[in-house]
Amino acid sequence: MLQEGLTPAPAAVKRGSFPLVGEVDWTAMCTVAHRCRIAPIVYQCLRASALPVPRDVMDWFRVQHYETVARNLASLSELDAVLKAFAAGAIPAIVFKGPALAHFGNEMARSWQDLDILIHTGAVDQVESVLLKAGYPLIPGPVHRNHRRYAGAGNTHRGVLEIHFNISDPLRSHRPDVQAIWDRSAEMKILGVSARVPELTDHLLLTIMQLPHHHWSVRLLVDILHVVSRWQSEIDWDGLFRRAASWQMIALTRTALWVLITRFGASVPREVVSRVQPAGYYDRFHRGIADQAIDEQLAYPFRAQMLWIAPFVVVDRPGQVPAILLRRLLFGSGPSEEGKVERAFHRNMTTLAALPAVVRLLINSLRPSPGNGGMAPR
Amino acid sequence: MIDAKTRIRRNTDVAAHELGGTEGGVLLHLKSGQYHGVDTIGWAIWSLLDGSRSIADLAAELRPRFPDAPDQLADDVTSFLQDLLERDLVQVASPEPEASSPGPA
Repeated sequence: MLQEGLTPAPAAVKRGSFPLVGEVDWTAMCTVAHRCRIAPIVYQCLRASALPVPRDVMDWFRVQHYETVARNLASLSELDAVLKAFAAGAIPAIVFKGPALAHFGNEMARSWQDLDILIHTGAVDQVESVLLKAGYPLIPGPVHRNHRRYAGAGNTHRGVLEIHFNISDPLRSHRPDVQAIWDRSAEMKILGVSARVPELTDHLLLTIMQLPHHHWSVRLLVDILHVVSRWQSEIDWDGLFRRAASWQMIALTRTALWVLITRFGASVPREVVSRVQPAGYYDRFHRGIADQAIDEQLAYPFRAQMLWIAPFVVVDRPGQVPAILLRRLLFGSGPSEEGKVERAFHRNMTTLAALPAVVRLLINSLRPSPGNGGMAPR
Repeated sequence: MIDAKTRIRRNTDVAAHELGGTEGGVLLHLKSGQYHGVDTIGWAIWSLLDGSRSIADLAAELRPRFPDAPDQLADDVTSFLQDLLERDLVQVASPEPEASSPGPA
């Protein structure tokens, strides 16, 4: 349904487009849409379809959509104020993630949890001073190597302002070329607000780079699907693969695109399909991990196993995985209300719980999958 | 009270977004945090509230866009705008409401 609903002409989507088997479990549909934070997108798809949706279900989805739009309007107003404060201090800033997704993708149907802004490393103190003066207090918590978090100051926006001064991912060895991202970024209007946003390929790769951190979130996959669907004629695929390789995230990029093609029907050129085909044992393992992580998110009720492991194994150099897992077990994050020992225990238990599924997948990946795995290139 | 001669403008503390299709739009009061959904007619009215038109002008401009609109469209528009006014989503541009203006000597 998402695939059909995200087509450029959603009005053409009809009931017959969805091969529904049996009755729709609307409770499950609402729960999964809410959990995956894609209720506004599902609402758009439902509206575009001729599915016989119960009135109360449609009303629930409508409220989710309206609330998302209202929250985003508040965020946008806050973003405008923050960017003006930065401009007054001559502080360059790139808007990415949530609001940038509005620019490249699905505008107001995508809920922005935080406002994410990239600044130069040398501007951290100046930004802090500007934000404190403008009424944005620093949120107390452990010092993060990549960003600082400030509480929203607006009357209506109680979200978080996340100021990033580094976007590398040392745990997984992803190394985006930050200076090149700055050089390629451009001033745009995001729903009326002037903001600097990353160039299209950078934006796609930065979004893909977030997938592990967000446990292969369906919401992020839908974001990427939306960008690919909307900008497919503009995407420089060769350039994207080259850049992904130089950012040391080619395994992740190929797996993400494969998932989008096979699970969400993303329309990409035939040569892209060839480039993301599983080519060996690790490819099959990576795709199995991503597939299962998505299945677990869409399952009702929710029982996560692979979801806890998925962030740490799809890397360019598989030899790094044991060290990544060890670091995660010893130093990883967890619920802030838990103590260090509790957090470590929690991490170890979730990892142990996933082991049987991982072992099964490791064995299954020994067998080459037949054909192209159901891919339908255009 | 407002009447057919009153000109109404949008409150600048309100952020609005059109949802497209047959959905109308969402209005968010940035100070109170309250949000409101409006249908397509409500959105059409909202988009015309630049303070340059009287309510009678608004109704006249809306009628060809909504051929099925009832005869009492102007009254309905007035009632809708009164509602928006009470929620501080719009402001009176001019003339000032008659009830609050000093009467002739």
